[in-house]
Amino acid sequence: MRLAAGEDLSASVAAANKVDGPAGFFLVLRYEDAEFFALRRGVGAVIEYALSAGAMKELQLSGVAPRPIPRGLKSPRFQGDELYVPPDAFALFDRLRRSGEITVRPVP
Amino acid sequence: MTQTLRPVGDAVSLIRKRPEMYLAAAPPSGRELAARVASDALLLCATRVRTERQGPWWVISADVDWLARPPLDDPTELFFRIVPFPEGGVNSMRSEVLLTAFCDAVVTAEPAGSRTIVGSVPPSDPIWGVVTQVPQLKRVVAFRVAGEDR
Repeated sequence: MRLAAGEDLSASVAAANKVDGPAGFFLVLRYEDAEFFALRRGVGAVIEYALSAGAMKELQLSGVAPRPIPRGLKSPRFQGDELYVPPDAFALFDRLRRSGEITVRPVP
Repeated sequence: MTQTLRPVGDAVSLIRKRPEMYLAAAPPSGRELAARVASDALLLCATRVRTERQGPWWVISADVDWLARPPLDDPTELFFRIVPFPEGGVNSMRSEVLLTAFCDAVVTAEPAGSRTIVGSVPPSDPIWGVVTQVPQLKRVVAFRVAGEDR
């Protein structure tokens, strides 16, 4: 809800909400995977982040790039990749969002 | 933000809608489901896990009640939710919800009693004798996959 309303990313919230793996902000590239992660947190909704080419370029220069979603012994077969934004890239991500290079909307 | 967030539906419906994500192969196989649940029990510290076929039923039992572990207060919620499973590695989930999604009957027993999770299982069904006959076992889960008669 806070993210859909345009709130900045927060390292402390990310750390508090961590389930497994590293703390950070994770965007998956396929809706099917987003549904899984929403439900793994109990009740959730899917929101869509649209990144401009310029935003992707800046993020990639900071080391934020699509990668396969890590799998454990008991993971589903994910349908796509993820974009992992570590806490030290939150400020860049938020700046790109505030400038309109990244837009956010609930999936209808 | 003028648009409304739409909650994702329930876990069981989602899994049924996308079996290719949650099963090795379709149609659902009792053997695969049994292996998944039994390995959950092993990863959760059971040292004795038994998997057997009893007529149309698959029965998994263990010396540890692997359902009665955090984070849920009511272990039967495991059959209806996607629950994180850190012992299974990153981005993992517990397997019990797969039984609810793909089986036409699921029952479970512990020393304190037994109950039906999915389907209608009459008191005369032989499975009730199976799930309650080994008192040293702390948990038994039995399930039946539709169309998979012995």
